Amino acid sequence: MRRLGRVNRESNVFRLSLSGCLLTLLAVTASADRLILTDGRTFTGTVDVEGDTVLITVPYGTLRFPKNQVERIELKDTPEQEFRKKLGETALDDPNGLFYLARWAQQNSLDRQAGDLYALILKLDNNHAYTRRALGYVRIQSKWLTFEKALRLARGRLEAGSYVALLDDVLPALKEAAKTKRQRLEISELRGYAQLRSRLFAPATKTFASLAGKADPPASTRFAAIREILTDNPDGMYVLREAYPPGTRLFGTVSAAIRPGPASLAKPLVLAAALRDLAKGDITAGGKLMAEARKLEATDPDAAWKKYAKAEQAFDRADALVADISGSYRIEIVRRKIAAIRKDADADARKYDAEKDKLGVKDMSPQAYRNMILRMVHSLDSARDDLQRIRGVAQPYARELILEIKWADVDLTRIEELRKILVSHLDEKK
Amino acid sequence: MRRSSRYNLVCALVVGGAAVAAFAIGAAFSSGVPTAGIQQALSSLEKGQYEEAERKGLALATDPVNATPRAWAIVAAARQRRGKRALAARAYRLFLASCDCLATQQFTLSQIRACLQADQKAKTPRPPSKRLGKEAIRKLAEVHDTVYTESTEHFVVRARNPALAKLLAAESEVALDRICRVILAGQAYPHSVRIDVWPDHDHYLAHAADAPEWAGGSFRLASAKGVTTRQIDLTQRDKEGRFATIMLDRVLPHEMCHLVVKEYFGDAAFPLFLSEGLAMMAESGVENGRVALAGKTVAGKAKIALDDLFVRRRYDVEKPAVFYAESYSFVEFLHTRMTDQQLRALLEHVKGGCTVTDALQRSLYLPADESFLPALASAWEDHAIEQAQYLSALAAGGK
Repeated sequence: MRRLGRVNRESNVFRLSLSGCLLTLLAVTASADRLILTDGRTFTGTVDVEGDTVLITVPYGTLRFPKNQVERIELKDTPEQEFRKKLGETALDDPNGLFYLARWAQQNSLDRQAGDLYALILKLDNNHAYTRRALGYVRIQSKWLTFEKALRLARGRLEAGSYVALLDDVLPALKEAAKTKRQRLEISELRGYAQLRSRLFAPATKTFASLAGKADPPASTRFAAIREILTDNPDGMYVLREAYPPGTRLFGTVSAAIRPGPASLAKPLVLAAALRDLAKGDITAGGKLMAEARKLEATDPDAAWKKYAKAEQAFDRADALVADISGSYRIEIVRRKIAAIRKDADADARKYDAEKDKLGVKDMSPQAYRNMILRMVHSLDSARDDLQRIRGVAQPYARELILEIKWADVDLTRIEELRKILVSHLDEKK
Repeated sequence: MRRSSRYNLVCALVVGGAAVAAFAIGAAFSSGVPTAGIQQALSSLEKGQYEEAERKGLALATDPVNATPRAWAIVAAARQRRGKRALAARAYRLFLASCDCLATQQFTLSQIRACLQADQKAKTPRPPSKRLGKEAIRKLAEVHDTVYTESTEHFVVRARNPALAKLLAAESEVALDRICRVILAGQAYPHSVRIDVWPDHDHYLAHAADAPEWAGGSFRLASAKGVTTRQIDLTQRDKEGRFATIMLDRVLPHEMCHLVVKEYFGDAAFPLFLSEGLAMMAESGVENGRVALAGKTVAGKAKIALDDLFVRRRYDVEKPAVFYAESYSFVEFLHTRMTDQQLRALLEHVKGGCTVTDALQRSLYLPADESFLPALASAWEDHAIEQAQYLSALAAGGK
């Protein structure tokens, strides 16, 4: 009895506060009147009449029309007015009734009112399942958790090895609550890894195949690779060709490694080793393309750059499988790009020097002189564009290509100084 | 009460765990692949229960109704880890028959080789002069008026001593095989080299091309009018007129390694430490002084840091003894810790213009990482110190 009394008092307070909010809203949009003009145009807002003019206040201002242009005016309740009526008809101690009203409010873009109603429902019944779900909560083992908390719990379960609970309880609940594509993908990914680690290789293969089709690169590349590995090894046995993690032999940390030989793909490190083997294949392929491109650079630069682009595609795949495994190859491609751009910049610099050498050697008309200065400015601009391109391509590897960037910066400063002199000279000659 | 609830929890966990296993096994069998059996055998292998793993693997591999040839891999690994290498090699061969992945085939072949070679005693090249008696050594110091020539597949040796020409021709082939197969991890050398042995240092200096004043031997690789000359010049006798055994044991393989490396790298820049380190590795026997010095210097203040060692050139080597000792130590370290394939890749990447650090990371397929070089330096220094301490302990034991 006491509890009900408290709820009723709170409900009255809520009704009052809700009415207060509504009044504020109504002041802004008193009604949802429809003004239909003779030319067929229709406006929704608050209609007023001033003499021979009909005014309609819409969210972006007030419009005025002569009466003779108005076909008719339809006066209607706004959603807020309708909400207020419905609220008056709903028992404030009935969670289900309030829930239906909250849903209606949500469907009519009255999110704040819906939120207030959901809060009231939860005060009446903290486990009101429809409300909890509407608010994005996930019920896991009789506890309501926010989606993010439930996702964290799922990740924790995966790492803790609680695969049955994860697959049977947590993930289905999360799947039901997922609203975005990203959330659905993350849940599928967790399911895939849980299946894999609990040695359900066939279902895991299906999950990763589905993920590969739905996710965007680079994640899709990784999922496709896992599917490939599982398809090639349906019994879940993978033969490691070297100890993993890599470099353990070199650094003398062999005891911490998985030894070469057969091992279960249910182990995360074995899967990582298998992905690395695929990445190595891509790097080898990319390296071969680079070698071919190097040979073509002098004779057929276009074909060479096509090969470099293909190599970069192979490196993209490798990097999707093992983060930044192809970094040094990418830097080498950038270095070669910079060298090629440098050649262009040097050619422009030579053109500039050739023009400069003509200065003062022979008499020329003012127009010819001006044209020559313009050509010199043009050469400088062209070289400047090349140097800026160098800065652009080198920037993602600023640490590794610091010399190339510095060199470009020094040359850019010189070019700007020379350009200023030439342009001011041209201005003087006008 | 508390104990009872804890007991209940444990029971629930055990039952839950059993349910997971049953679920996994049931699902595995339902797919038609003997996943459960394979996984159980792998689990035993991982836990170090090799006999159990072998038994389970063997049962799967030889099942009369539904044999699983892939299980031979588990049998082989279990046997190999138990030290039953010959049987492991047999199991690997049976696995190989069912293996359709090229990379796995290569791995399996390498394991078969490892199993078969592990039973043979590790080959530490014994200096050839140690096989010679006093009389033979005395005769090798003789200088005749006639120049004798001996030819083999790769060498034409000219010396003023017929026995020496014959010995050098044979030892050159042995050294070249070791350099190409072991030191350079499978590098081919389809060329012919002329080896001239000069009676003494004066003759050597007078006739050998580009002979350094201090050296007892040198190599030359030159091209003129489309003809490439490959030559090694050596000195037969030391200052006292005795046969220079050092020439046979160290100078010949050292210079030969330089020649092969130079031929392989062509005009590409080749780090000095790597060139000298490889050449010292090619020498017969280990020079303990170098090992001891390397260990001593890396533990002290006189060391050349690894990043510095990588870029030293001949003209800026201030402490040659330290440089040579560390170069040898580091190259030997790489040889111990890297596979043949990785070593080949390392040389390829250096030849392609990579820095040594980049080449190492590439050959190991490691992402570029700033912490790589410090970690590598630390691992090498530990190795160098350990080797020196081992030598020191041996010397102390000898006393």
